[in-house]
Amino acid sequence: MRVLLVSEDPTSLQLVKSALAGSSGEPFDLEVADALSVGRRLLDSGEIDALLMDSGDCRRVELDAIRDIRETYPAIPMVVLTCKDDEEFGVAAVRAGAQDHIFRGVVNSRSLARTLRHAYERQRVRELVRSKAAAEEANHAKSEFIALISHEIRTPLNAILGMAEVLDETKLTSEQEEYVQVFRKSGEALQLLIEDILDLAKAEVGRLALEETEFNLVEVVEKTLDFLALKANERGLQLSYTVGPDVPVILRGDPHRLRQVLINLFSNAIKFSNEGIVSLTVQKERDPEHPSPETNTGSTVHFAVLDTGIGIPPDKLEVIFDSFTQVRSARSRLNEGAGLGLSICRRLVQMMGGRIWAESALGQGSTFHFTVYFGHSQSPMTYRGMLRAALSGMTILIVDANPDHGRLLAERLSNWGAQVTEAGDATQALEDIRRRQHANLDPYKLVILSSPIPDIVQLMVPCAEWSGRCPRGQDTRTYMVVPIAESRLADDIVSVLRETADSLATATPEPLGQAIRPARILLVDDDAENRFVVESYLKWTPHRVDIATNGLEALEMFKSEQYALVLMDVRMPVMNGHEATRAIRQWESREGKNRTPIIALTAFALSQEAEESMASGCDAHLTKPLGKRRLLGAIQEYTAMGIPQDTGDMDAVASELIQVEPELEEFVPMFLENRRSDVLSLRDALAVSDFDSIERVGHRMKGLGGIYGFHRVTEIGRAIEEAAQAKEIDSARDWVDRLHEHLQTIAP
Amino acid sequence: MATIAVVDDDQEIRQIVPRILAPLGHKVVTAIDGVAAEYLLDKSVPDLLIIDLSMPRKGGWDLINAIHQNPEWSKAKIMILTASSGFVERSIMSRLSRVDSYVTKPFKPEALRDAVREVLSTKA
Repeated sequence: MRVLLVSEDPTSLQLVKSALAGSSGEPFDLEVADALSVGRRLLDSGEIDALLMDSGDCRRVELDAIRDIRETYPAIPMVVLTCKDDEEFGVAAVRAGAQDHIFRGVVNSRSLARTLRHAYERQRVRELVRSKAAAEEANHAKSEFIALISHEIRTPLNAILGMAEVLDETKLTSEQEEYVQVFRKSGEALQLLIEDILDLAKAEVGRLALEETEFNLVEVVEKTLDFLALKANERGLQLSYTVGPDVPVILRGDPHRLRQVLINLFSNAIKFSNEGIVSLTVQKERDPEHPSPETNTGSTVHFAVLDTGIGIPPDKLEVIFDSFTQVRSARSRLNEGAGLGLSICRRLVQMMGGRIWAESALGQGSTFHFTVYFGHSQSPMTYRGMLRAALSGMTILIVDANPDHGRLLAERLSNWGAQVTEAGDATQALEDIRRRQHANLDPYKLVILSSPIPDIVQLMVPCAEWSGRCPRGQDTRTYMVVPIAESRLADDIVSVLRETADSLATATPEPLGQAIRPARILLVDDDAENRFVVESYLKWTPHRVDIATNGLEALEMFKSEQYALVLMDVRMPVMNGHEATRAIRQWESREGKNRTPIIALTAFALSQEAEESMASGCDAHLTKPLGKRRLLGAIQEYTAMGIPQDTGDMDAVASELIQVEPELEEFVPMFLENRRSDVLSLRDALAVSDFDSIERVGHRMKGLGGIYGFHRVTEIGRAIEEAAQAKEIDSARDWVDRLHEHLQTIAP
Repeated sequence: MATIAVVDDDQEIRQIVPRILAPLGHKVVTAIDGVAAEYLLDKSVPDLLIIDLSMPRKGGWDLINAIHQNPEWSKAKIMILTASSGFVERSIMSRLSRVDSYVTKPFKPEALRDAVREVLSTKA
């Protein structure tokens, strides 16, 4: 211990010197200064452990000097050497900041050494107490900071995600829809990262708590994988999961933390793999303490995340679970992230009563295992039970050209309780479906199509309101095609159907023909708007649309490609629809080709234009604007499917059969009365060629008829409106007559 | 329960739409044109205005502009009814950022109810 003696008195110096020299234990190093000002240099250097102040000549050491020293050198213990045995002064000195005082008269090697050492200890204790207080304050400040920043970060992030969600609900083009999905998923990923950071911080200040609630294990797994699928797909990876048949499905615990662990592990696996599959297996762990399942109140579930990535060196397998460590690799630029994930996982898993560990082989891949203890719920349903429950009684149609293959699939599904029918091809499938319709049976809940790609089948399910799964804005009664790996058939059926049990019960089937055999269609129209509409209608069907913007282009394309159907607009520059059709027919007969169906798209419901279309060689004509159902019906009718028109073209049927909306029945007399007076005002307007009024009445009628269920009235209204717009007086008159006739038939 | 104002010069629409919306349990009032609608807005701002765009003399868009320029009125959500289709629909859609929902006529009663439910449930 280095001691500085500040003293003017040679006797004090001598006294202290010999006392310290004679002491036992740790040796003392004595420095001397004859005044404080001289001593300061040494004190400043920080090498002095204790200060011995001599009051010298019995003059009192200024208490101010003591205070000053205490302030300037708070860490250095001070002992005051008094010349008198003056207790009062001694106490005052200690109050002013000295650690102790000692009377010169009692100085000897033992007493001085002990006093100095004790003073030193006392000083250390004081420092520790101060440090502790500072640390606690800092910790408190840190918690406050976390709470504050958590709110500060969450608020704008919630706004971003909230807006993305709202945006997602507006009408978007499919391009915009894609962008919004990226936007949402990135936002959600960011949110997760921030949650991770905050969680780790909270865990460290002891503020992390576990929830306990009932949840469905399979649902959590599926939602998690769904969330990760985008990232995985970007890296060309696939995700899959298998659940052991005896794993209990409804559990008690904290599903959010479970999800957090899974997301962390999967994110790592995805990050460090370039290809292949990242898979999750979920098994029930045999609990040695509770061998008979009926008696225990919970289960340990064992999760394993396997990847085929770069692997982890064996010496790092433990260390990776420590905070902020990452495995350095040659491609270190891939190692983004704060390295928090695994340490959070370990903490969480431990909190949930389990453990976590990793296995790996360099260059081959890694498996991360963790176990969690979950409580059981009232419902003892296992995964096997869940599959059975979901598939039991489900009516499934398998369409497979290979009978053996189809039978295998059918057997597998029957084992799970489904009612399976097999069909060898699309025609047979459609017959089956129609047969059910005619027999007033419930439609098939699911149609499975074998696919040219081995191991993949396609599920066709009614596309109900599944956000994220079904193309938004799609008619909810269309079918959606989901390709899945055959080995995952049951899992995926369950996953695909689970959320929509109600929708399936009420969905009515659409004619399936258009979704099974894709047609190559040539669309000829100079109007970008119209082309856009047709393309939108066909976007989610397998039909392939080629575009020509005038008749000449159409002719060229027709010659060079094989089309199942041509949709030909009539009014176009360069070469109009009639001319193009004629040219095509001539070419066909010259080349000995089969006749390709051509449907004319006419803007007006004018008989003249329709007649001319048929004369030039069209097979049919449709008036624009083209309703989606009419379009798809026409495609179905005229492409190679050749399905007869018994249930097609709903509109034609609807216009003959009037079904009035029941809630508006009492308004029908008013509606009809108004239409009858419309006829009168239209005739008045016709007499003076008041096209504006005719157009207005037609427009209004168009907007009203369909609300009640009088679709024919809407059609006629549209025709009247368009005729007036084109100032075609004869046609307008024609349609007004038809309106009159129609009203007569409804209510004579 | 929300307040819905139906603005349409067609008397038939003014009669049947309140009936169609009745099952939703909201209060439905009607206005014969933009001027009447502004009078309604002055008295009390409804939660939703259903505005027919086929009203003559651009009445619909004028009203919508007036609503957007008034900070109190723009608290209301706007749904437009339009019997136009195809091309015109597209130009309306390009202005969609200024309305909250649109429904084409003729609409099925259930479709109108769905649209109203949806627009009333989204946050302002």
